Amino acid sequence: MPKRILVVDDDQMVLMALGELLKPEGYEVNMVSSGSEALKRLDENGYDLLLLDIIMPLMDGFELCRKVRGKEKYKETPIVFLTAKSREEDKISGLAAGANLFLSKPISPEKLLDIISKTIG
Amino acid sequence: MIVKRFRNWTIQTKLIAVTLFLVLLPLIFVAAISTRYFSQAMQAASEQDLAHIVENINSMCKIQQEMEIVNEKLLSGLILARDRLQPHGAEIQVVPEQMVRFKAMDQPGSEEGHMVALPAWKSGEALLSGDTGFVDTIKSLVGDNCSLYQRTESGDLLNISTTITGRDGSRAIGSLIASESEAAKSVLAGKTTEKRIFLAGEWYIGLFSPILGSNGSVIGALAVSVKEQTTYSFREEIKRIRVGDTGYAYIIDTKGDLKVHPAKEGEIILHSRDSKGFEYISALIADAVKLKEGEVGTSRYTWLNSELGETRPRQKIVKFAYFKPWNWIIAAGSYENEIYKAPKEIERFIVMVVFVSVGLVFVLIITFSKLLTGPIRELTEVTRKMSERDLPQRIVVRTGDEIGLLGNSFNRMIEQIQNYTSNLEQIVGTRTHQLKVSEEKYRDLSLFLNSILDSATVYGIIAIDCDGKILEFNRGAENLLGWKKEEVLNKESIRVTLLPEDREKSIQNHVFGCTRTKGISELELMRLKKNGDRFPAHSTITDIKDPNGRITGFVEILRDLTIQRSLERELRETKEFLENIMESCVDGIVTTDLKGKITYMNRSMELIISCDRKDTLGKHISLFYVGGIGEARQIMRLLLEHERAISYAMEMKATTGQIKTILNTIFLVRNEAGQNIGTAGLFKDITHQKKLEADLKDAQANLVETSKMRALGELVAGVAHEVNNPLMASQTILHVLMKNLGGDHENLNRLDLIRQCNNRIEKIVYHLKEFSRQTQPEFQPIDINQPVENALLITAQQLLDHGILIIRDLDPNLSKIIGDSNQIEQVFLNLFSNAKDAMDMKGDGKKELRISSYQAEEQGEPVVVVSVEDSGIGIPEENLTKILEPFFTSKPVGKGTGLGLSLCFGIVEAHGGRLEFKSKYGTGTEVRVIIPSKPMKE
Repeated sequence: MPKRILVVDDDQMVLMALGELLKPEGYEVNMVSSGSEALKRLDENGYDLLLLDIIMPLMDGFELCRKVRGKEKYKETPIVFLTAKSREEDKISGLAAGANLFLSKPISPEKLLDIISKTIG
Repeated sequence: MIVKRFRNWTIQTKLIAVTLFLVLLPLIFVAAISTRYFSQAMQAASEQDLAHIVENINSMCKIQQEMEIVNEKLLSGLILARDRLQPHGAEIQVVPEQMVRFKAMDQPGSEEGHMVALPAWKSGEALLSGDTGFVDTIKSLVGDNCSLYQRTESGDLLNISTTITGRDGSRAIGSLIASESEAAKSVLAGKTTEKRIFLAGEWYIGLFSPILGSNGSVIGALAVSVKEQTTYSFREEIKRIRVGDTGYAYIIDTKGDLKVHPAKEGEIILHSRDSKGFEYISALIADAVKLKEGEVGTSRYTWLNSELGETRPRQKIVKFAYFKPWNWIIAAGSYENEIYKAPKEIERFIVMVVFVSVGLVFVLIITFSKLLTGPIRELTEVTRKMSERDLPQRIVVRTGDEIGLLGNSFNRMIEQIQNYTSNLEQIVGTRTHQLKVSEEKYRDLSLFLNSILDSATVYGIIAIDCDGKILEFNRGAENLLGWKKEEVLNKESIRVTLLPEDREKSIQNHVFGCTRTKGISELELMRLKKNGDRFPAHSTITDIKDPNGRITGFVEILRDLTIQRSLERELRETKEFLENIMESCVDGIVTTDLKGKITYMNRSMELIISCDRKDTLGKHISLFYVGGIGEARQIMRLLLEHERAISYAMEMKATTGQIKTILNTIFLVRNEAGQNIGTAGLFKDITHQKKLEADLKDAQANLVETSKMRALGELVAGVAHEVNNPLMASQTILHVLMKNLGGDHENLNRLDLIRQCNNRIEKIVYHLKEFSRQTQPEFQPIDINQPVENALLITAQQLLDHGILIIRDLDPNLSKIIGDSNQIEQVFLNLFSNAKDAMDMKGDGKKELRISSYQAEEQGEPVVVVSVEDSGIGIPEENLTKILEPFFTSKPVGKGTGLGLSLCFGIVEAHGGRLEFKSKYGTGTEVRVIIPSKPMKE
């Protein structure tokens, strides 16, 4: 079964680029641009990995993360923040929100692929 | 006393008394003595007369016996006459100056004669020559005739005085006894001669006794003659002798037979007794026979002559002699009182004289003294009248003696007095008026003073003498001490107002001594009231001097200090309270005089200007103004215009040089009259506040900066963020693209170029993000070594890869700094990166990066220094100033963005520190990061 990855980012370009990167690797990638959409998708499907951006209108990444972790289904699911925010406190907040990893943009594609494969295979 | 009384007698009395005394005494004395003496003499003389009578009779007997034919009576007569003529052998006075003329008759009975002049004979004052006084006396005494013969030059004896008269009755003066005659011869030879002479026609038996002159030669003779008679007359003569009134002579023989007696001739009275029964005759006879030749005995007995009709016996005195040849006792006796009659009469006479003279003297004295003292009394009277203001009196000067002189002087004096008096009256008139005026003034003053003394009810005024006895005590003293004036005046000593313990200490003496020396003394002493209460009092004591300068007493002015003391206490407390406030005041308080000189400064001000107030008093306040005297003047102008200047901001300089910002409230100080007497100011030190303000401003500026920066940061972050996404998308898709193309595609290089561009964009974005991160620092106390280590950790591998030796020298005991660890880390990351680049650029030589951190001090403040030293290419001098500019870089294009150091600079500055660069081009560079640290405490 291919791993399902949900990518949440309000920037279309980023979504597209990540889709282009991850799909060839054999992952099933869903791309949403808001937190509310993400939650809907999460309920509809099951995912193995979540890639979240933090800075988003309406619901930011932290809130979404917390909400996801509130879902029974996704309590243990690896969540990775991928964000322009890079402060220490953001990191801590991120991890406190329930994320497993905190990555800052820009990240080299190789590194990202490496991390994802390490996380979900 | 007596002397005093004597002094006070009038002159009259004095004179009388003195005169009486002087007259009376001598008189009495003389009288007494003379009477005694005289009477004694008289008595003696009388007795002597008696004795002489006896002697005479004795002599007569003798003569009679000697010359039987001599007429015994003659002899006695002669003797008597002799005695009378020359009493006690006195000489006849021959006075040659007085010649007496006699008619000498040679022949008896002859009428012819020649004149003879002879020097006069005198007996006493009585003239004998030619005088008959003496011879008559003799005749009356003796019964026989008496004559005086004076020897003439021719040797005749001239009769110069005789009782014999001639037939014609005239005296036979001038009869001459011729010198040839036997009588004359015998007499001139000095013999008593008896001769018959014929004189004045009669024959006489004369007995001649030669009279001797002063040279011893016979100058004449005394003769007693009797007509030739029988001896019968001798007895008769004897019988005829009288002594005194009833005295007589008698002769008695040893058998007591009266031989010759005027009455009892022939009687035998041997056993006669006197009225005392004394056989006086026997006694007389017994005594008489013992008598020698010439001796005369004395017998005294009382005899009553009843025949003469006497009734009382009288004292008889009898003188007797013993004529042995005939056994006759010749006696002559008389009654004493008769003998003594004369003396007694004289005595009485003298006494009478004395009394009379005394009386006379008395009268005379009285009169005389009246006379003498009359003027004096007049004088007295006049002066008395004068003293009763009856001036125009004059003394009538009657005498030229001292009293008269006195009177004259007195009159002159009165005149003078009258002159003076009129002058004086004038002067007195004016003076009286003056005196009246001053008297009134004096009275007023006196009243005034008294009223002052008494109105001083608060001040006690006490006068005391040198012993402390109270002489004056005013109302105020009564009030203060509780004694009434009557109770203490002249009764009590000032000691009663002293405390018992002070009385002992003789404070009195001490105070007196002090006052004596200085003239005044002041002291504070507890005093005692009458009721025993004590109160504190202030005494001012001065001495009282008499015109000679001697101290006669002291005056004390007493003041109750009780109220004053409590007021003082209140004042002191208030003062202390106010001073406390002043001193406690946080702000500085300064007062100055109108000239600006400091008169007071409180503690807080001392702290502000770092100077003790004692060093500032009197100095001008502008000394401490940064603006100096100009500022002071300006302030003064403000004050004069507006009375006060509130919150006047200014700068002051402390003695340390420190400048302080002061907020000053200054105001003028006025006295009660409203006059300006100085200034006062409250100095609020707002240096710190200002600093805070400045800090605030800085902070605000900073804040503004910060917010600008933050805005910028946010902008940049926004940009970075915005760029990040498309960048990442681009990089991702390119990756995919390149992967898909794979192999040896000719566009792979072109794609790689795009990848490189992306990388550069990434770097720029990265730097931008770094820049933006600077605006959001989180300041905490951190140890600077930590970010240094972090930075090293990150870059260590890279540095090693470049062959750079890292030398660490980090002090583990650094004080903490307040800062953002991330930002500091950024700084060192940058510095290490620069160092690496510099050493890479140098190429050769050793590559050493030395990192050391240490504590240091800058301007008294602790700082932490981190030194990054490389041995790289160094910075040329001309670039040293530019290196901090943003975008300045010496690195080749693509190598550095030039943002690094400017970022570092910003971060370090935000931390309150600075960057220091030391570089030598070609050798290396040292960069020092200096950041103020919190001192190690807590």
